[in-house]
Amino acid sequence: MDVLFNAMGQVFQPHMVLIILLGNFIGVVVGALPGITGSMAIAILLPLTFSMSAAEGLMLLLGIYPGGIFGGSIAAILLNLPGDPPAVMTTLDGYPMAQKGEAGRAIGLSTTASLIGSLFGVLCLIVIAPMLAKFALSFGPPEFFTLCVFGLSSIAAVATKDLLTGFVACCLGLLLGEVGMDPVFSVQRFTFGQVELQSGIPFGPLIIGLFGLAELFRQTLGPLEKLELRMKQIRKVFPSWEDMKKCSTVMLRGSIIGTIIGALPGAGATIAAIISYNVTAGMDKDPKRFGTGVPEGIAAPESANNASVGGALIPLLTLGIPGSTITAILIGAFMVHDIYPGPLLFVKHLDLVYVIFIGLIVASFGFALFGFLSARFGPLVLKAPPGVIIPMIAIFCLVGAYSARENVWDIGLAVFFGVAAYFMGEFGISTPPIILGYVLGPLVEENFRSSLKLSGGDPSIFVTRPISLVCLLLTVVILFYPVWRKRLSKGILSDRGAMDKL
Amino acid sequence: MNARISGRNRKFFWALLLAGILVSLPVFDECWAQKDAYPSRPITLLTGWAAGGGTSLVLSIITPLAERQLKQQIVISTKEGGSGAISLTTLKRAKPDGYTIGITTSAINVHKFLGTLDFGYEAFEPFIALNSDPGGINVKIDAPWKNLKEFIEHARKNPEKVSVAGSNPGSVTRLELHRLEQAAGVLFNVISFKGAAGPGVTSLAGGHVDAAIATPLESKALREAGKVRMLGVMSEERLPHESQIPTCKEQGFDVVMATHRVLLAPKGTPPAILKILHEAFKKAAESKEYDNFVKSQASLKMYLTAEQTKEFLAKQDVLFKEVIEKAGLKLEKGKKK
Amino acid sequence: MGKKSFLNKDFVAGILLILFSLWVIAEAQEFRAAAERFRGISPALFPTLLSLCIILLALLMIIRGLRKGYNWDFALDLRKKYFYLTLGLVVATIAYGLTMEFLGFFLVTFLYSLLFIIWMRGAPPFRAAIIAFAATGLIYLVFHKLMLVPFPRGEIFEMLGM
Repeated sequence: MDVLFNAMGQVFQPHMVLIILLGNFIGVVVGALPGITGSMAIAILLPLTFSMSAAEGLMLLLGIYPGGIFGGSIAAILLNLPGDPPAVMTTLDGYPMAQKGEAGRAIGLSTTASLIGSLFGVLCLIVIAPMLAKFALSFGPPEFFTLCVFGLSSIAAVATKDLLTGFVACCLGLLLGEVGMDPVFSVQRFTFGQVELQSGIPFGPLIIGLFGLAELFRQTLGPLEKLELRMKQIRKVFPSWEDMKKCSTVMLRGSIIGTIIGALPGAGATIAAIISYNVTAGMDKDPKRFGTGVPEGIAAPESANNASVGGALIPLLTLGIPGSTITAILIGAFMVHDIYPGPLLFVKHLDLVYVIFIGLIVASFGFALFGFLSARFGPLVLKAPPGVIIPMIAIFCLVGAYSARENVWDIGLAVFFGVAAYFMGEFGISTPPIILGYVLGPLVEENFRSSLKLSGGDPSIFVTRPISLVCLLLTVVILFYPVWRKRLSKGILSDRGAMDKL
Repeated sequence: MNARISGRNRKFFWALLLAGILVSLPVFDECWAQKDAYPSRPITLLTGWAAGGGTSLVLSIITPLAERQLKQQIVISTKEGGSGAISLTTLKRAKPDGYTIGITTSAINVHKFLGTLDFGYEAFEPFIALNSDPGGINVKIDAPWKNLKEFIEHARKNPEKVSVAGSNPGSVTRLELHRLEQAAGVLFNVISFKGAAGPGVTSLAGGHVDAAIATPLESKALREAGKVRMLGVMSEERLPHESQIPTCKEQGFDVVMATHRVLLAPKGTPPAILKILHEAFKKAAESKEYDNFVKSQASLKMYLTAEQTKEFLAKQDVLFKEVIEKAGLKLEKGKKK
Repeated sequence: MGKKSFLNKDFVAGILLILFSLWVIAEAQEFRAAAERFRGISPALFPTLLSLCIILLALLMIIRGLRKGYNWDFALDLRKKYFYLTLGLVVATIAYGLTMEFLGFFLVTFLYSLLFIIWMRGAPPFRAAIIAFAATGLIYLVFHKLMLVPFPRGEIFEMLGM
């Protein structure tokens, strides 16, 4: 108890709170801007923490972390351009809601869901960390494979036009994920001798091209008058009671999913958001609503991706294993001060651990503060004349595409994908399933091949291991849920199974 | 809304000119710095390894220390891709004026034999070697093999059945694995894991594989957590801060392999500048902070002058070439369009 | 349903997809050769499987397209002037990338923003210049100073001996 009060005393000093808020601010801004991610910010600012005390340094970085994950949703909602990968699912319902004139409500919902997810994740970290860490370790290649297959079954919820083109888009995305060095043998695939493609297609420029530039082309190719966005309800930033009632179970479920997936080494916020959206849409009685701008469609991914923060910290603090790329960077923040995350951390530096706990809670409210502010003021940005907004978006997209890898070549890549996505869209192939395939594809393949190597070629490994079997069953089960039933019942050829968009 | 009157046009012209000048100022001010004393403006350090990995950690410690020596900012530019391939290619093309340098791991010895790149360390001016992380073989804490000999025996009796986690072909971790195979005359069932920060060791802790190759740093946390232990470390002598781990060599297996970190400059960089850089980083490496870091990282400090570095890299070339060829990993060139 | 016609989005898309998939399969054969010395599943397997899936789906699309008849409305219309705006946007963006190293970040970003805003009549030229300047400055602060993203300084300045 003493330690707890000590920690609170440390954190609640003015300069500490300011550091946390600064981290939050940086995180939200960087998260919102396409091309730069929260993890990049953490990596850049890491050397700065060298000269601060361990607690101060960690507070700064831990302020950036959840802020960055939340921040991506702002651009996703306002511009249909995820500022960060975890916000990809938020575009599905966030942007339509904004187009209906309710951008403030959308960002407010995203903030609330992120806040709840974040707090839930931290709570799990405090209370059940060791248990969850052990569970996380039991995920090996077969389990990851089946989990990702389950993630792929989101296709039914994510395909906004019709199921057939949705499948095609997903397969295209899966193929995109294959570009680069093959994960098992390092054979170059589809790289055409370009050294820039050897590690695969970079995520930042890809998203900027597929979402940002393609959308820009759509806007400029349509009569410009259509760009006037109606602004209703600017005042209402906090979610209404109605919204909260509808979304409370969704947020809770999303938080649980997010924490668990965050804890898995190798799976992070993006996958958490995908799976949460899938489960929520899949279990809903009327899945057709998703994609039109329903609050649950925002609450599900946003609660999950922020919950993954707490989740990812679980294996980091208890075992010293990073649960995601960002936590891998955070290890450096500890090491620079001669501190090693792991069970000894709780023995040697228990005070620091509690500071982290309290700090995370403060950081959650911190970014929520900025979240509500941006809900109130963000949409105003869109009131500027379209002739100004579009160039501004364009330039930020370009700079973002460059910044991801400090490579001019990536700008060309983004343009290529933008043009390609535009034409594909004209033919009915929508973008979200492509990203789904791109994110999950490499994981599916790598884990499938590793699993078979482990079992010496025996495919029964997927059903003999309990967790793997559970994920497979979940995939099967969801096929029976309305989301699949209703779409398949109209026949695979039909495009009347389309989700009604405004 | 369009400009129409000529008065407006003139205003527009001046505004444009003024704005353009103001905007270009930051560029100008960097140009107007002293042209004589090197370094007169920030230096870019290229790295191909993402933040969070061992290389980035080394950089985050050594760079501020070197900045102090050079009295100039060093900007770390991360060009990820192809295990350093992109950053090395960029460095090769950079101007040899001392304002662009780079760091490399043993990747520089490996790429040219694998065919990913068609140049090696000779295309650069290596000016200092900084540290070295020897590989190691780890097993679960409750594994039945007490030492490396028993493990190898088991592997011999079960050819291609014992699963060992390594990275994908082309990384030093994987080559360390193959070197062990070659030195011991066994064949493992190699399971590839991608990326830094030891996902292989994590997999080992979860019991999904029988063993994992990882540097002492990568497995440190899990070793302290009591989940895994190291059977042998691939260095010449026991590590000063982890002296309880026997080396592979002393157990009868001639496996000495590490990933070393070397700083490079583009070929043609003037020797005077190379000397300045060398001195700066040398002093940085001699500082107490770096010392602490290396010890706590269970890493090995290394210091080589430019000449020694070149000799060292030549020897490494031979070593890696042999391992790669014996493992049959040598890629033919010409597969690219 | 309109009259039967080949001018159908699904039909054309299906054909293009089949051609694409065949190309992927052809490329994949190269990987198979490159990986022959390894034991395990070939890196060509997944791409080939996926391509086959796409071919199957594409066939379904073709069937659907043929059934539906004429469906060839695009938002793209070569006669509308907005088409040239978009084309210009693409060209300008590529030009931005190509000239960035030569002219330096500040010049290209400023010019790009300025010209774009003026072209789209988003603001009168003077105001456009201010907006472009502010945007460039903001990007400079956030991306360069905060995120330490190195921007090309512009070879033209070096050439001019500055």
